[in-house]
Amino acid sequence: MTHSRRDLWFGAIVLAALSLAGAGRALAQDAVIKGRVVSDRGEPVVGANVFIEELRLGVNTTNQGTYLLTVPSARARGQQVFLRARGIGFKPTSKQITLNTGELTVDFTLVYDVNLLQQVVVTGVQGETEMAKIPFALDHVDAAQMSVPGQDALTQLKGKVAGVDIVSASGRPGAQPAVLLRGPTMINAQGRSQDPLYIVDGIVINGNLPDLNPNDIESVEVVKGAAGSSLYGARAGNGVIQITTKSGRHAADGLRFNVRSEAGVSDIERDFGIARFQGLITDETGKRFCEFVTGQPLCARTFDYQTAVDRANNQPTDWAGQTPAIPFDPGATIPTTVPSISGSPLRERFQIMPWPQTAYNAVAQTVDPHAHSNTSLDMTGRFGGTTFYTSVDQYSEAGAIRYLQGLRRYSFRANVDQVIGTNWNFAVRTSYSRNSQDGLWTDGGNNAFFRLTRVPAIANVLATDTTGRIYIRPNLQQGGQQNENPIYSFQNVGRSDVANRFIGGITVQYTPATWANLSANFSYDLRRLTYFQGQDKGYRTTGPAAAPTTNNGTVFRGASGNEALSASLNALFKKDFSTDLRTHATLAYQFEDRQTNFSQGQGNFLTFKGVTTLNNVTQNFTVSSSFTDIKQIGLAGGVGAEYKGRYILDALLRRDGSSLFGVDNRWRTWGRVSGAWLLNQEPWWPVPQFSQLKLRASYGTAGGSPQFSAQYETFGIATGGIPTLGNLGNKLLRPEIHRELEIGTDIELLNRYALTVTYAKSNIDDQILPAPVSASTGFTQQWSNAGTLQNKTLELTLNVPMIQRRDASWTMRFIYSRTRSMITKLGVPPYFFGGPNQGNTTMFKAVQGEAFGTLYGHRFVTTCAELPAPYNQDCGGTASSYQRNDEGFIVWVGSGNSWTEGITKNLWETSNATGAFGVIENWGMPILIRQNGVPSLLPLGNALPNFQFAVTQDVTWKRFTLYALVDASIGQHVFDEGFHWAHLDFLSKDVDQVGKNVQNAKPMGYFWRTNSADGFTGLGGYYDQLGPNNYTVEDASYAKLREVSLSYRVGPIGGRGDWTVSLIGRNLYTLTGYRGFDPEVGIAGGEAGSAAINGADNFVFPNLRSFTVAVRTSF
Amino acid sequence: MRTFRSVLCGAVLLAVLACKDTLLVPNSNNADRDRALGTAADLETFIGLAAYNTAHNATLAGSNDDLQTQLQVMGLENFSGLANFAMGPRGNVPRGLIDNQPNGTGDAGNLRDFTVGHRAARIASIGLDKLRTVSLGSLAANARAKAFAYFARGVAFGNLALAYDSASILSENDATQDIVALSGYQAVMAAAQKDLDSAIAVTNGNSGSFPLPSTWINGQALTAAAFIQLVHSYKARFLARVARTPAEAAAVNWNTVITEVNAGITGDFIITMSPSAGWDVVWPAQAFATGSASWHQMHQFILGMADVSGGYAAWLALPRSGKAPFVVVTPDLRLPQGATRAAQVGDTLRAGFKGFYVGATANPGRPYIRNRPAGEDAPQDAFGFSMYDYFRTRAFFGATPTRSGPYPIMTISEMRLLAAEAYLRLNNFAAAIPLINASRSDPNRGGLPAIPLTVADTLTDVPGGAAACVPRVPDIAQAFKGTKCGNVWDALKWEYRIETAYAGYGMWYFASRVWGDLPEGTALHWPVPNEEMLTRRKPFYSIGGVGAPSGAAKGNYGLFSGGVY
Repeated sequence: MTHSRRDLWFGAIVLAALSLAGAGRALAQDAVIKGRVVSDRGEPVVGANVFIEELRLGVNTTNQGTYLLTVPSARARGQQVFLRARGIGFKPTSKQITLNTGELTVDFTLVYDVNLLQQVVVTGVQGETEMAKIPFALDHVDAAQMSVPGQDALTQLKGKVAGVDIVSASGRPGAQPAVLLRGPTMINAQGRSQDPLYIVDGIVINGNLPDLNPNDIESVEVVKGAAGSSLYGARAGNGVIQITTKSGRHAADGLRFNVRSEAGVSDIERDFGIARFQGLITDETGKRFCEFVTGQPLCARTFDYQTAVDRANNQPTDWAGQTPAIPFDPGATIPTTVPSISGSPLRERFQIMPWPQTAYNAVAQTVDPHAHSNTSLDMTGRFGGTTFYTSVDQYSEAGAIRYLQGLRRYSFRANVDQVIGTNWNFAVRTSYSRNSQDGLWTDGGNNAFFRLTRVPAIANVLATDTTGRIYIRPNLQQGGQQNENPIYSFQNVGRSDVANRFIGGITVQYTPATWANLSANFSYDLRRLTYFQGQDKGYRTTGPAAAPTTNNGTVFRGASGNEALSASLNALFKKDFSTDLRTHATLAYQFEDRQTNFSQGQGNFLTFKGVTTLNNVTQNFTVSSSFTDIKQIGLAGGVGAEYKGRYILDALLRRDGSSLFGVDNRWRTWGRVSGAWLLNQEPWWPVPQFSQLKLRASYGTAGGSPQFSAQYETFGIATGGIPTLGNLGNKLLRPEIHRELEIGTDIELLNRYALTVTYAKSNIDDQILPAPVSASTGFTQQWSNAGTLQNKTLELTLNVPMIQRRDASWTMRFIYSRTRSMITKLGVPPYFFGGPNQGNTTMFKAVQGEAFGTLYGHRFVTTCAELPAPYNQDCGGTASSYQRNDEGFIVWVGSGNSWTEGITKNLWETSNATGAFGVIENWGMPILIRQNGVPSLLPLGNALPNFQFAVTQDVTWKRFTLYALVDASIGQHVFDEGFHWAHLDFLSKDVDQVGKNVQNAKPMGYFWRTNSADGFTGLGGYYDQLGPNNYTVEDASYAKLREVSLSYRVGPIGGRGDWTVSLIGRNLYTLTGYRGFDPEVGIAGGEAGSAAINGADNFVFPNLRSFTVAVRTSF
Repeated sequence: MRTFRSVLCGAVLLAVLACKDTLLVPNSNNADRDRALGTAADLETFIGLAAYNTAHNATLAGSNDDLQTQLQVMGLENFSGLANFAMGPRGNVPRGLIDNQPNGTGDAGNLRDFTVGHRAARIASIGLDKLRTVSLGSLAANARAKAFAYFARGVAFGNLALAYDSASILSENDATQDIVALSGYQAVMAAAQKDLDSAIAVTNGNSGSFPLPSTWINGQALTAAAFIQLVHSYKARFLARVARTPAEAAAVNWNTVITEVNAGITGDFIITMSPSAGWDVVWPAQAFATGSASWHQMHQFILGMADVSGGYAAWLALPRSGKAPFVVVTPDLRLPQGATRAAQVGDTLRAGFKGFYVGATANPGRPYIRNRPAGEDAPQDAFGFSMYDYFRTRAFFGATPTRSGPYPIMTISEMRLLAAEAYLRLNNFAAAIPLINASRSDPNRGGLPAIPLTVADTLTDVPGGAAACVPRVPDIAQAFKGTKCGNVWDALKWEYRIETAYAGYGMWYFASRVWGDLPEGTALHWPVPNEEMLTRRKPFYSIGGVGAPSGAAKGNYGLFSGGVY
């Protein structure tokens, strides 16, 4: 442990000891106030807080809505006080009473706060504040609004907060969604994250939230930009999501248990369209395929596909045997002319032939609906000054892929609050969870989901050999590793990721006077992850020769840890100068220490089968490790004032020091000034129907930090321990500065209809970018401040309680947001960047004036204007040389011809030697836009949505409750990489021409490589090269029926409990024109660092759909 | 209130304690310059382990995108139609330009070699700079490290000069962040020669400090004399291959080449490859990595020159689209023997793989090339599609661990044939012919009839008779649709190609450039990568293409549209 951390522990102990020394007063009672709190619909309000603020005394209501408040006789002196009642989800109310000894009955009726305006929030503000008085946009989501628990805390926020883009880019159980608040904030996020700052119960989390039990969540608060997040300073530029877990603070005396159990199945909603037909060369029977034999006539030798498959797989070896060469081979390179075939098969053949034997659907064979279950038990209680909430939870999402086990999570939580006397309050929050998952290796190129897109329909991926082994190579094509049966790898690649996480914190609050509140917090967050991936000795390969490094097994093991320790001291002082002018001031100190580490090793050639330790490997053993330590100190102060209850001002400053920067650039000042005006409170306001009309404006700054190593000059260690030059350090690096101006209005009409509109404009200056350095320095790159990203966001939330009666209610909620991100300044040369995988690494371009997220790639001509002169003059007409075909592409057809005459006039065989762009144009084929003969890289769309919206319906009728959420993301584009690459093997469904006529049928070459001008032997075509083009960058707009829950409250059974039964569905239906598995897709990593930006469908685990039944009771 | 004060005191105490040196965090993952070169031993390690290793890695150890993949297909040393690593686009004919634009085809490989080549030179320069102020403990140790740094930098400059039209000439006087101006390839080559001369000079004056530690060039504990020989051989290679055109080649001082060869290595210079130790040579072996011939084939245009069956002539006569693999029937024992594919396959698949070495000893085993079983064929563009794979690397790839063991990065054959070329260019046929015959007529290698020592011109056919001479070359008189017997020059080139295949950086490409044998339009070198030009705030540019000034002229052997294809 470092010196400074010892100091911190010491300080915490001192603080705790001092705190305890001040505790220890006893209570007495004399005056008794009792009553009942009911809603305006007549229901008892459970857990409402009835309190006397002047005495700082309060109590919660029971399950029947009753309360009993005792006041020590010494404090009941006949004075006038306000007895206030406040319940979650209700507008508070108060009654003035005279406080005397003896018994007094006071009942309350609370009005539903359908728009949560009176909700007390804590995020981004200097003290607990009612929503109605927040001068910037803050969204509060209650547990009641998350009636369909998600796999994790973030998933269930989808569609509930405007301006929050949550993308479940992979359906792999355990995969975390990507989150953007008001758009991307970093042009380059390598080694860091576009995610917001996550806080759980005041504890700043080191990393993400995969381990949190969603059933423990009481509420989530979201502050989306610097205008609201300045309080958190240097790390808050991406916004803040704060989660408050359940506690016993609102519990009635005694114990209350909740049990919830949910079970069902998950599957995959959509298919990936694999071609159903084939274009291989067969003999005259159509049953046997021709084998390619060099120097021999075509079809001199033929073979039966399944027989050849059986022969290749029924080998005693760890690799498949020899397979026949297919003369016209999807998966391998195709010659312009296969010997003995006259003309070009790419021009002549149409993919219309059924496979001669049983045809399979590899996706259907792979998908195997698995169980989804979640059981949770919690206990809430109050005993005197002690309240608590504890829970245990089991979550299992086995996914829907054969042989994968998915995610299992066990979690435990204990939240304890202790009030001692009237001045001291202790809050302890602890949670522990353990989760394990097994599918981490399956996503991405060259892995199982990639190979799943390469399975021809004739391949039976479930076939087994004579010894029961699943065929390693049911696919005879010569595609190398892609011939490997994905099912075999699902079965035989071992993977295990086990995470243990502890999050704990203690907050001590001391209130020495009504005007002062002091608090200290000490928290600790530890996540330990161990991971293993291996292939056992004997792992099969596709042959025809041994692959020793794989056949002999591999082991990859590692462990990583994220550890965060933080401490803070806060002081809040209030001063009311008059009944009209109320002020407060805050001071805060915060220290954080975040450490990460990992160690891992791998090797192959196992000594013993079935032994997965690293010392079982004998060759190619490599190890690596890393340790980073980031420390930060924050000093903050702020003031706030409220005048006449309608003018609200708030200002704060925070000065942060961070170890991520050089000595001269460590400290930076952040701040915010904001104000709100409640017009409806003005005496002159003429429209009483406005129960709230608030105008608000806020301007704030917050920071973005570089990755750990950015400031350092680094000499690296290459393979073999050889020194090398790495990063040319930069001690002058500064933090990114988020400057955000936000204006908005919160309107409520008739205490029911609410509309919130917010416009925010942020400039994120001093973007931290890896500036390329000249090769002459010998180093690779240097991080520097070199750009500005600008986001403009419009957010709208509409809450419409259509019906509000005791037996029936119907509330509709609508959210909408749009963000435009633009690179307004770039201090480094324009460059391409993208995701981490082949084909998508350069799909974006960073250039000043460009919308961030713009996808670049090759573009096939779609309008005559895209042709150069004079060719554009001979385009578009029925007799023109260039015509638009039925797929919208301009193609060369030659004068006097029609694009429909390829077959009838035998024109597919013809070419235009020097086409519009100076290279050969093949008849009827798509034409690439070029410059100097080279295909141009042009904008094709944007990976970020034009806008998003969601509609939520909450309907209750007697004992039934129906909840449904539809969310939509419109206008984003995705590079459908799986669909694109499958064209190489003619395995994309659009290659099938069955059902087309002689006018619009396309030969196979139409879907294959670009032509010889690009160094290929292709003719067209859609496969082009590995990168994106405008055929495979698709509009991925969608609307999803995301969550549905239909519940029936049974009530007590046998006099026990309060039972509810629910039918729940998740991701039930997607409305989209997208051709891949799921338009909600992306890949993490890369320079953009977020799957919400990296719009590439790179063979990821498809999103799951689930159907479950849940039973819940409480007692 | 007393408690309140206590809490405040505690808070202040905590704040003070937590502030102490808190924000000073070392980077324990990576060393900076002070830590990396902080001691004499570290400095020596840095120079010894990093300088030449990086220069080697710059050319031969790129696992994916690098220039080697492109050089090999452009020089017809390898053939593949796959898009991977620009093999297909660069190997295709007619040749296109190197589209040096962001995201352009093969851009990653271009940037990679340029960057790593300069990094090697910078590492050496940093080492030379530090040696001015840090002693390694003795003058001898200082001298050895200095000589080695000069050598490594010279090799880095030499390779950059071979591949690129310009590069930066780095020096130990540069500041860390300097962007050093670009110089043309001739100037860069001059700097390389100067550094290599410095290496020799320093070594000559301090020979007692040798041998080199065997880790500096893996497996080679070179004595001073052996080290100097290696340096001379590099000098010879660079001098002979830097020319871009036959005209430039004619201006080379070939006498110097002979001098350098004679002072150079006396046996194959091999490195003990060990990928896990950082010593690797990837592509000669990687070609077999997938087990698929789609990644690698031997180009039938070159191999056909050994054919005596008429198959090559027939192949040449066919239009490009009609060309098909044919059996190369040849008396050259380095190719599989037999008149049919089956016979050649049988000749190839004798027990055990052939390799450059058995243990560390040169292996005279043949054939170098195999005729693969038909089932392993991977149809390609008809121009390059053949039934032959290079085979001497197979054992190396199949080694355990893979790619480990001795591998030549410079062969005595290369040096011998460079000298032979120099003698031919100087019209000293008598000196050249024995050097050609050394492998050509060696019964353990080519086994071909020796070229008579009486030949003194470039008109006389190689021996073997009109029907059985090797090599046969496309005949200009037949518009390259037929063949004729090659002459002594053709024999030299055949020997050079068959003996140096896959044994160095772009061996066939650089030689073909000098000889004028590249397909028309083949880029004569690489442009400075667009990324580097952008960093320098200068416009980037492309190179190559038919008719372009920086594209090869029509090849001697008819490699142009309307000729062979």
